[in-house]
Amino acid sequence: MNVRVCFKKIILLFLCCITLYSKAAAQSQKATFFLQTDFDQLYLNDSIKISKCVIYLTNFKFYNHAELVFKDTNQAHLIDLLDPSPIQFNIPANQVYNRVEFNIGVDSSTSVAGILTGDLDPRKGMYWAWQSGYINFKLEGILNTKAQQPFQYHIGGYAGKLNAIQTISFEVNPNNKYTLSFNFLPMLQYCLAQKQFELMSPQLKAVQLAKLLSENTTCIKVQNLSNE
Amino acid sequence: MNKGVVFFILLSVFSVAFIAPLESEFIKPANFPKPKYNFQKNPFDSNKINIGRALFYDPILSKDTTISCASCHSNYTAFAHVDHALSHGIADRIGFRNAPGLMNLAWHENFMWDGAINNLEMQALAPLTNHLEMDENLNHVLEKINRSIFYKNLFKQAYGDEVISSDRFLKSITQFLLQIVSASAKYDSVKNGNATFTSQENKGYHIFKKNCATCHAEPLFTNLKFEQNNLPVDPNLKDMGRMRITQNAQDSIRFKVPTLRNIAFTFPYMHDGRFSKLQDVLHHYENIELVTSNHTRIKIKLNKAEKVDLTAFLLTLTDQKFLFNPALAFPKELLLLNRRKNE
Repeated sequence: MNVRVCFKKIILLFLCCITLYSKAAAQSQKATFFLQTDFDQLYLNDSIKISKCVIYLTNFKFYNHAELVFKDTNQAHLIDLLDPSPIQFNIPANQVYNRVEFNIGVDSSTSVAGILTGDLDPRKGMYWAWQSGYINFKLEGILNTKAQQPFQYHIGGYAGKLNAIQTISFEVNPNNKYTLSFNFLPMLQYCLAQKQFELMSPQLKAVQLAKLLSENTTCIKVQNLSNE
Repeated sequence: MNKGVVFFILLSVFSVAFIAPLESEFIKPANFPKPKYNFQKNPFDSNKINIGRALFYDPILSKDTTISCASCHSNYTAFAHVDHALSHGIADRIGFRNAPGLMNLAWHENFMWDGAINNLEMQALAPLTNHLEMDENLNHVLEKINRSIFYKNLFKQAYGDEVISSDRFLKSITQFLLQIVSASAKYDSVKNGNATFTSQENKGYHIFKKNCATCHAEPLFTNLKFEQNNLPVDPNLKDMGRMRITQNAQDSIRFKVPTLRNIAFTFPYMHDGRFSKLQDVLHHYENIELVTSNHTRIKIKLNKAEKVDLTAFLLTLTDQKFLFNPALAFPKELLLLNRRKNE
């Protein structure tokens, strides 16, 4: 299979989007902030079909400059990026913030904490039973070429040099709504160029792929809510 | 206060005490350090321990309902798989490593020969899902258990309702695993001042302290670390030990140091069960130089008489009370009688 030819046929981006939606309820004592997911399936031609794209987003924190003003009580959000639901936060009205920070993946203290519930329940299919630890994200699909080459990337690892967790932060304004866009294409291109079709254990290459995803994650202002 | 009222209150208190399930506390053996397991997260309850015990002995956990945890971890042999170098799972599939004895798990922070499992609560998932062992998956096992009236009743008794979640399932198994404590060997009686070593055992103890105790540290008889003991890599298994997990070259062919407690019962020995007899193990160590994980160089030289004395000491680590503890054995009444009645 000629991967390069395949690439040429791929229209550039595979983006998975989550809309970060925040709105201050000015009249109330408690302002409510919403994180709204809005999967924006960017155009892929028929060369690649994505069958699974799930990701852990964890430890959301809101800062006013260096000061932590709000921490998400929900440890982890497991997002199906092929069918995402919004994430919402309730932040007190008087809290001013200008930056949001979160992780792609599950941190080491959570990874060693034993059995957990909710989105961290091992029944969710994002836990490695043979080597304890969460899968930070999964990307699976098929190259729709003559060979019908499937690919599976389960990226995780929490310890030492194999720690694949990625912390990202973006400047945000409480009056705006944002879309977090996860662009998997650079990671996918990197793997396919090396004919790496499977990667399903903690390893240095997994850390590299996690970085590629993190570097290609953006936070886009969608709409100014103050005019609404 | 009216005597009748007092009598009634006392009667009520006693009745509740007898009706309420017995709460089991984890009692730390006097000569042991503080355990590592977080008991606050999973407080002991006799009903939950019962569930864990039933599940441990129940082949319902395997794909074809033929293999239970106890198939490879028999209580009469310190929960090891005696006479099997490598354990076999369903359909006679031969595993990758020797099934080690299970005991004193509350003091461990990681499990398996390579430390792949980072919390006791998650340990059961490894054999449960391994293709060579039970070849199941958590969702399907929970579906099976949720269909069982027997287990529904047990979970209702323990947790107040019939919900059998992964959290309750794994915590219950963990509660039983935490009961597997061996601390009543002759060695412990000596340490607690209730017995004395024979002169041969005493000689053996000194030989042990000089040559073995760095890795097999008292009182658990393991330093809980990953060490290498100059065993050549089996060309078929190609097992690189801890390096498989950390991918650090310095962890190459390092394996978790097994406890020596009940060693007379846990043969065959080593991660791949290559030595069937204790004398084979001592033969391996009779003239050897080792470098430990903290870079200590150890030279061991044992003559024939020393090996005999050392063996005498090692036999003081046999814990009959533990080996034949009915509370850890197959729960005949629970799994056979009650279950049959229920299903």
